[in-house]
Amino acid sequence: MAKKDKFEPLIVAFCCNWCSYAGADLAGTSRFEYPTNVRIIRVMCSGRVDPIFVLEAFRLGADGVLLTGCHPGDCHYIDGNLKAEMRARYIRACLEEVGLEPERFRLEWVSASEGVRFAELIKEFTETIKRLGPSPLRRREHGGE
Amino acid sequence: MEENELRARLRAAREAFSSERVRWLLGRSRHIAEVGKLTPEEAKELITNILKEELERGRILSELKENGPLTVPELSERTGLPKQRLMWHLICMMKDGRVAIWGKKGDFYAFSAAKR
Repeated sequence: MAKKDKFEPLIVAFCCNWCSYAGADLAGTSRFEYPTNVRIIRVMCSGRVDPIFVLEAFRLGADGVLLTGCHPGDCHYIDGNLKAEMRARYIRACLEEVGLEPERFRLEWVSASEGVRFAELIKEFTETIKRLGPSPLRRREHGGE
Repeated sequence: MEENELRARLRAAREAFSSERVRWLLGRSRHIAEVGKLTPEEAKELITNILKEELERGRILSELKENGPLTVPELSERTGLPKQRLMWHLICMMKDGRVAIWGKKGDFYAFSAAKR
């Protein structure tokens, strides 16, 4: 039980180089605090993220996966973020079929000037994952059956 | 759900998203909707149905890779899919070159994942 109380989620965040990663950088340089549960992976575009990357993150024990990209219309590669949005729909459908809560995966738009929003987003997503509990693949580590 | 069962399902999902059919459809879905042959809802329904089919095929393929060669009754026991549906999947996958007949186990043909 004591172990369960200390649950700290492991979150993988794929951030696009041009907007969200710069937003995360701004959050850091502006000294906005956000939970340390997130591991950021920089990709050139949110459209670069294959659904397989998300599934692999879950398979390797991530409790949540966050995909962030530029706001629609702002994509450096014109429509990469729209491709990511379309894929995200099917990733959620697939997670539901597999038996994982679709809320464990989230797609959000964060621009380079939205450092505060990035910090808020990480806080909120971490809370959501804490509420959902550890991924079924890591439940044993946290004192579950 | 058991941890091993979830891992098997995740492996199946990975196989499904690696399949040519799903990748092609995901890549062309916006074009399909733009051309106007299907409404966005119809395109979504089509892709969701194909994704479900591919999840089942992914499950079969990952079972064959991990524990193959397997017969239809063995596959049915492991995946929980009806034998008739399994046969249909296996025939389609043989046509795609993803599965091959390995030989016989007793009275049944055993299938294995094709080497690519």
